Amino acid sequence: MRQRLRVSSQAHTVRKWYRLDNAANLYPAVRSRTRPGLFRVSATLKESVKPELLQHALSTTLKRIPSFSVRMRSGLFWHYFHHSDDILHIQEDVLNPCMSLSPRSDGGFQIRVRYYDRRIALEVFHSVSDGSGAMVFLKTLLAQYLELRGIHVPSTHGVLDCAESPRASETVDDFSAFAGRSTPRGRRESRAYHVSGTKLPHRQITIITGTLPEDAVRRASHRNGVSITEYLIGAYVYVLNDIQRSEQRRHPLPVKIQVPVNLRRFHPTETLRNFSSYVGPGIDPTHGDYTFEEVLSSVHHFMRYEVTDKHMRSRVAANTRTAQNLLVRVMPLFVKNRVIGLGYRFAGPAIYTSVLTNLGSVQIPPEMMPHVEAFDFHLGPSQVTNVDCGVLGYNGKLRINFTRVIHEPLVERAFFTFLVRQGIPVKVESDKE
Amino acid sequence: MPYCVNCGVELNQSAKRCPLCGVRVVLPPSLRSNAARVPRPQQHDIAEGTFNKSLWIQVVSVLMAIPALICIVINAAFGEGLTWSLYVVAGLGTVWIWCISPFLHRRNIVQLWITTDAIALVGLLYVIDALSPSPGWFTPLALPIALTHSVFTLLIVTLARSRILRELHIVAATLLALCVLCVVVESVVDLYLTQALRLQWSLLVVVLCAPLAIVAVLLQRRTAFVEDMKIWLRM
Repeated sequence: MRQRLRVSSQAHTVRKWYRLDNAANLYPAVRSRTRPGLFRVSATLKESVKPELLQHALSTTLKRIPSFSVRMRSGLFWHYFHHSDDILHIQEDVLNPCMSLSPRSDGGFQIRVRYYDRRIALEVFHSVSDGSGAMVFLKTLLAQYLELRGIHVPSTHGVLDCAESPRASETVDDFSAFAGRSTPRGRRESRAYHVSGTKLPHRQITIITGTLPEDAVRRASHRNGVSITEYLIGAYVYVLNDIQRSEQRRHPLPVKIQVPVNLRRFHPTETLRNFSSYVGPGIDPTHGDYTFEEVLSSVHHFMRYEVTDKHMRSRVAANTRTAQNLLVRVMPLFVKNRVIGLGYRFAGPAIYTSVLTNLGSVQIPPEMMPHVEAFDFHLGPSQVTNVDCGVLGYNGKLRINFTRVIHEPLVERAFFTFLVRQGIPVKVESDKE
Repeated sequence: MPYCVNCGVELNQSAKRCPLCGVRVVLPPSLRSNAARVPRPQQHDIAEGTFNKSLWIQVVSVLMAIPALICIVINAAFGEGLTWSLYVVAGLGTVWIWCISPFLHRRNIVQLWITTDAIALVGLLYVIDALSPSPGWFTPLALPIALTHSVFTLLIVTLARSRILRELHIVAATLLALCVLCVVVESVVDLYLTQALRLQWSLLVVVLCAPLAIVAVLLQRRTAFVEDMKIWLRM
């Protein structure tokens, strides 16, 4: 029934429909108005954005990366993406990004491109791609935009050549190949502490961004014998535990952070679709009071033990085996959605205090660098964790973006002032200034 | 560059307050003049199909006005002046206020809704009492019951929103409020009908609800249970 229609030659492949990858199946089943499942990568240029050029650049980029030019459809057993040749219109940026995609206002597309003043932002529904894939799309879009402004940008550092045809390898689901015959791991985990506060009105969020010199963070992390990501996770766990302690709970809950892991480092692939898993470092305060050094040590050893090729394969295998299960495959979609929704309630954000995702250092061609001032990475709002954090580095600076759905900036204040006390200068800005 | 004296973080040149602690930024005039404002988007992403308050108020108003007018016309045409239609108008007026009260105030304050709804309810009871052939029950009977109910609702909502009452404590407080309300209802009715106070059925409610309230308070101490319950209830 749903055949893959291929146009002309193998080199010029445009698939008419895509099966959702293994990780992507989760998001349509659990998405709602309060859980939109979007994230955002954006770039701030040094000059104001010209919307007509951006629209043109977007059309070219979507032709090169067709897996982003899709609408979601529901089949009898699974959701799937259907390729769309319609024009995705760019939109002016808003104060509350990453809100749920509406089939009517966004033409059914699962991404949005927004602009404002000097900023170009890409918002992506997580079923379409992960942070790394979205960053490739954004860099290619920026390169196309700069080309239209008369600046030649070579196709290096993750920028795709729009003169080329899309490659089949860019749209493959590599989860099964990665998992191989690895034994699936059990996923039972206990509930975690969640920061509480006064909820902002529906569809409102607050974003606070901290800019840190990468060198200072690297020095501080190396002083403690850990990586930058481990250092930031350690600091995050430490301050969240402090907040829980200040609430004087009779029975404190574990403080665990969901940390997405890019699997491309273990399994080289060209795919621009989801190819990441996650781990959950943290501490259990019932074991006693932790010093920062103890938290760092715990996070460091957890990450070194868990984020390995074998353990990540085993973690992914748990998901791929579930999806391959005959009973799951023959289950009608509406039943599957309910089952996934129920599982998500117990094994989703409920078992993590917050999310901290580090996209790493963004590399772009040297010809682009004089025109791009900053990159940012924002997670969509979560009504369970209340505060989440996206990190990336560019041009010697770390940008830490907190997205929150509560009034009180408790977590951001504790986190940034802690870093200041550790001797790391922090510049803070808010979207509400 | 301005710094927050409280948090120690550097702030934007254009920042008026620290976004972390709210402390005001005080800059010397020479620096203030150079403070360029960072451009920010002004619009919000409003979902299609979101609730249209003014349309809701218009629809509810029309839906209430039509039967009210029809009743008035029928009553005036076929009866001896406006009699029974006034009950309908008062009832519909109260329902109208209950329907639109969440949208009357610009800020979403639940306490204001409850107060507005309570005033509307008391007003309805007063009108019915005034129109009824045997008036006089409003002050001794209707007013104390309506006020007790409204005060308890207001109190529990306020304490829950200020997070003094949490999760199962709210259940316990509601059960205890129900006990008190039943005792007040029976007392007021007894005093009105027989001028003597003999509590009977309300004590049964107290015997049933008070232990449940104690169980709720004890369960609240089991953090894991509360967390599981919140997940089940999607809280």
